Amino acid sequence: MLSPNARILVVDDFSTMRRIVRNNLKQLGYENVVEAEDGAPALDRIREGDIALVICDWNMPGMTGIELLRHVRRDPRFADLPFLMVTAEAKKENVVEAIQAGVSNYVVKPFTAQVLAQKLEAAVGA
Amino acid sequence: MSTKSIAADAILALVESLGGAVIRVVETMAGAAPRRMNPYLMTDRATKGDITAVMGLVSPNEVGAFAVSFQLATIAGIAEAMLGEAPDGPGELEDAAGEICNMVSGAARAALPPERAFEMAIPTVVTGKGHSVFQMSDLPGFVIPFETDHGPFHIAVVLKRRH
Repeated sequence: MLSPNARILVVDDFSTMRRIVRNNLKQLGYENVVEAEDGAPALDRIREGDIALVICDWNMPGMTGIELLRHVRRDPRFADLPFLMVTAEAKKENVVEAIQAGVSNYVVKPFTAQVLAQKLEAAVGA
Repeated sequence: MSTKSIAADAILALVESLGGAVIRVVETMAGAAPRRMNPYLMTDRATKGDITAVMGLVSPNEVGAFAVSFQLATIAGIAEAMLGEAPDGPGELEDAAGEICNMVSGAARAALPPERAFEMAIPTVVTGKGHSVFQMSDLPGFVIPFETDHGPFHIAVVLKRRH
């Protein structure tokens, strides 16, 4: 389970979705949230070593969410870092691809705050 | 089946999936389902919205685009309901329109049968009164209007066979 002070990285090219996720996290008691607009700055932020959970969009310009996930999992330091994919990619083959790449859990847009909370808890092993 | 009727079947399937998807997206994210009005054939390329998110789409047999177009007050109200707080200026309204378009495309693609599968790209957002987002003026197009508590919006689809 995450501590209330755990630092959570939200990655999405749409500021609206970053803000929705940030507000949902705030309702759940998590206020230590940092953001990135795509995979490349997110990877730099993760490598600083203080991120406890990544919540990431799939379809972004530049480095996509699935590419970021593969980079993260190749680094032994982050093999177990909880990584939640939040995406409009709802097709079964996308879910399978994310699982094979090592995703911790998967949320399909559109989603409610309740669904995000359930998936987050499952991703961090609560 | 003629070339024209195949394109008509494809566009109707796409319109139905997009219409269902936009209701689900707005209801889930903003808390109130939009009311679908009667669809009609597109007669001109100028939109009736102020902010439009448009996305190209392609399948093995067809190519085209779809758009979600909002009046300013409509997207402002929907965005506020999605965010749980007031949107931060025009840029965030454009961003919200793009994200809605993105979610609608994902939900619509998931609902389509494999033989109607489309690939879609990242949305582009266009603003201004009477703007046009469909440059392929010879393509057949459909419009579905919706009503919400915040005002009207519509989705529009154009499609043609590739070969």
